[in-house]
Amino acid sequence: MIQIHNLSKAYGGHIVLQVPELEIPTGQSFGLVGNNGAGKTTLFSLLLDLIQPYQGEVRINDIRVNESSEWKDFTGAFLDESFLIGFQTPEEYFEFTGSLFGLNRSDVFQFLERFEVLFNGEILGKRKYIRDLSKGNQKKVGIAAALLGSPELVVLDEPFANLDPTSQIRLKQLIRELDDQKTVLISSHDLMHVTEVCERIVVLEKGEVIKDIFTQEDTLQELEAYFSV
Amino acid sequence: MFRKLLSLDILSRIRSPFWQKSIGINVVLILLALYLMLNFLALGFFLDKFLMHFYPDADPIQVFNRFFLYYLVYDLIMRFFMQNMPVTSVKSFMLLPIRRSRLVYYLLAKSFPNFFNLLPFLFLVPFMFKAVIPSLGLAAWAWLALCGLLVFINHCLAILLKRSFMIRPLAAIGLVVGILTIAWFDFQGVLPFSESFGRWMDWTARNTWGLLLPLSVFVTLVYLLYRLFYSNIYLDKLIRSDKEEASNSGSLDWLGRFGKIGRLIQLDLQLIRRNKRPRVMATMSIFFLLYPLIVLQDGLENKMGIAIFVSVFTTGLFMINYGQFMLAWESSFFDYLRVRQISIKEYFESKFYLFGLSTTIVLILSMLYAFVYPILPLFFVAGALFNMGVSTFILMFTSTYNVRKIDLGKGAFMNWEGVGASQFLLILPIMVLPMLIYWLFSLWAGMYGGLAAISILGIIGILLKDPILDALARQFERRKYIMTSSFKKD
Repeated sequence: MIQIHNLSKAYGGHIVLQVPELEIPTGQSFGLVGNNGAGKTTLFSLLLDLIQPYQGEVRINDIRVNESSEWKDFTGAFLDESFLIGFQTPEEYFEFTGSLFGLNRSDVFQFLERFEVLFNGEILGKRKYIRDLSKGNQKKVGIAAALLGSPELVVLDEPFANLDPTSQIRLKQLIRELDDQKTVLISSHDLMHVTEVCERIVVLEKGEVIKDIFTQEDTLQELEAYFSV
Repeated sequence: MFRKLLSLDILSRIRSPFWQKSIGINVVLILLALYLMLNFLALGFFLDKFLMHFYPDADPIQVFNRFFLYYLVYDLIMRFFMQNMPVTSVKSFMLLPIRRSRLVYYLLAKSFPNFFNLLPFLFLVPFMFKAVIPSLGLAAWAWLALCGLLVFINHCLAILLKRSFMIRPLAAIGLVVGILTIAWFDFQGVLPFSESFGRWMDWTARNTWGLLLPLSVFVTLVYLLYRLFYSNIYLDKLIRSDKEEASNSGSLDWLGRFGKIGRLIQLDLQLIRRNKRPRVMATMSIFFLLYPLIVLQDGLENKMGIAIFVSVFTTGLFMINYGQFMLAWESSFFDYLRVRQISIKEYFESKFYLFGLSTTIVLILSMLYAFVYPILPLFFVAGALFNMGVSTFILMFTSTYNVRKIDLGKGAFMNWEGVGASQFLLILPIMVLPMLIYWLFSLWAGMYGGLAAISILGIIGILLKDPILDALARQFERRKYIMTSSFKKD
């Protein structure tokens, strides 16, 4: 699904990310962990063609992301609030996003049914603009919109942050229930959540891949040992 | 402690994002401010001459004092709409070990140095030196103190009124009706309020102890403000949530029937309706429909160049006003646009139709000018075509150089957010180009030739829409990373 080759990003001559080779096959649930400034968001931004690589390339389905925008047809992403349209109500936002996938109103609301538990009655039908929702509820809107239109590739930056414990558990449930053909990329500071949800975990430190492991029984301990310096 | 707070305040002003612009723009802004200040200084300096000209029999000071009441009423209304208490500034101090009374003093002191309190002195002081001192001598200082006190009373009154009207909006209407009634009686001479007010000011200036009355009013108001804020320094009370209930009326769902372009226009209209600054901008455009009346009040003869300017300006006002910040309006959800399957060509195309629509609406409305100047509608048609076929694309091109983000939550007044070099660059071609073309072609083929040339240029632009949009999309591709990263900066 995703091939990264010789990718690097620099700000003011200072290299912040350097990934010589990384491949994420279709259907994999991929977790990215690392401390602040490790380059998680930078990697996702490069993947989504939001920033320009200093060197190298990212390919999605063998097409360079900065050459064709074909990948947009099967990708859903939520990195931060600039993926939300603050002056729309959640309903309008979902409808607008759905319309880009050719979904009509009833398709969209049928799709949203599975989020009922996560939304917990605080999102839909509240007559509030997204800008007036709490941070956690904004995050829920963003995550649901990223999954709208059944994209093959889903990219979520820190999906668990700002969510209350109940919502975190429900979100994990939702992610696990996604069909096996979906490639899901998640970054998180929460080692436990990420090991529960992801098949493969990559640890970034200072822009470099330090560990690349397939989740097993002892993965959480291994990660905790690594981070408790 | 008070000094520390004050120095922090000065620091915050110096380091304000207001100044984080290129030096060129800051220089332009400072020159503009100086020019305005100079205007008011000059106004104060020549005020006595004006007053003598219009009221040759009366003492200019007495005339001034009479009209000062009107100024105060006007000032109060302006303050009511534009003056804000800097309440959010104390938020960060609330948890620090600073006495609550100190915070309130700080808040009150901080509110005074503002535009409305500075402005009157710009014309009061020169007027005093030129006219009041020669006639009143030392008492002129009492006169200035009186004027100053009245302005400060207004300051406090505006804050108190604004707060109480938030709780009782109907009272605001009552006050406006009251003021209008009094003004009407005054004009009719039934109840000469302004005259008595002027006489009172004269008397107070000559009898300094009379200042005690306005002074005690001022002190009382400050005390009331102090009490008000003292009991209200709580997070939820200070910062009134301006969350408006979302209305479905603004969702304009029917536009969805026109496919993706319709959806994007719908998004634009939602943006305009639901955010203060674009909403004010759009409303202002309606008032500017009267602009031709002002500029062309002496008739159209020998003013063809100006008529061209007016027609382009009037039919394109919304478009220029709103379009100059194109893409910067979208800065808060720019990543969404970058990652979702909306191509920039479709995006620009939706703007093309939106601007075309707004120009058409203005054009239809401006046809009413046919009753005043039978030939003006022809100019408007030419101007509208030029806007649809040329200005639109100029705006789109310059929009790719918009790198300053706009916070949609902020108001319109004195808001320089999003202003960059591109705003200054785009005015020139849009305003000068049509005049130049008209001039060249009218030399050769008269007025109709000039108008035809402008119209044809516009029509060519409209017909070449697709290739031009493709070129603009390529331009956007070159600029997209720069825009994405700069919209993230504060």
